[in-house]
Amino acid sequence: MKELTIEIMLNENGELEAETFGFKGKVCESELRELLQDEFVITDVEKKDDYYKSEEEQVIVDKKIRGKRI
Amino acid sequence: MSSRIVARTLKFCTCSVNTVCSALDILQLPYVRQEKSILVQGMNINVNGEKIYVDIISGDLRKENLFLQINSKIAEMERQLRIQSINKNRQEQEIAAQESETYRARQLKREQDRLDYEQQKLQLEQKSFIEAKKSSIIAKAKEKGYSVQESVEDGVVKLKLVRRIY
Repeated sequence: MKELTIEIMLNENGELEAETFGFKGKVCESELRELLQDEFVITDVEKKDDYYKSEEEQVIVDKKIRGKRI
Repeated sequence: MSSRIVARTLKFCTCSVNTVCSALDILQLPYVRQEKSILVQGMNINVNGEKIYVDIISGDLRKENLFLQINSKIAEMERQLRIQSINKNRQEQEIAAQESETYRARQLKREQDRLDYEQQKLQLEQKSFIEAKKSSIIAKAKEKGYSVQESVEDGVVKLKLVRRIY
């Protein structure tokens, strides 16, 4: 069993910060965009080291993304 | 045989007939008020426009004393009237200052209330906006098979989306 987690923090000013855990490869970014891009403008993407590791390596890839309200 | 009469004109320290009459009332001296004079104890007080005076023959001590008695009372009354006027002006100025301060305080309160209202309105709009965004994210996450845990910490809404793949 594999667990995919997305943590989202939405502050009082309508600014959002999201972080993924358990995703592999670039799917994490597309997953976040699907969830957030209709409601937020993504202004900053911070890629962790794991983002660049391949799926075959069975490495858990993390990705952090920030957005602000439209 | 000749005679020499020296008459003196003594002017009262007021130009108000009413003040003279009030002084006579206070002194309890009976008088008769006529068109251009006031007759009191055989002495004629002349009224000529704003000038109120008596003509006294020199040496007529009774009339001189009577004049002095009336004029002293008038002077005292005029002094009291001036003091009353000063006090009245001071009170009016204090009342005006208080009213001005009250008005200013009310204006400040109104402005503060307006700002508070605007602030509350803005906060409500902000809250409603964030609530709408949050609901949208939760709906999409559920569509994609995530379970959603929601918590609030220091005004920050935290959403934990979890999906298990077997």
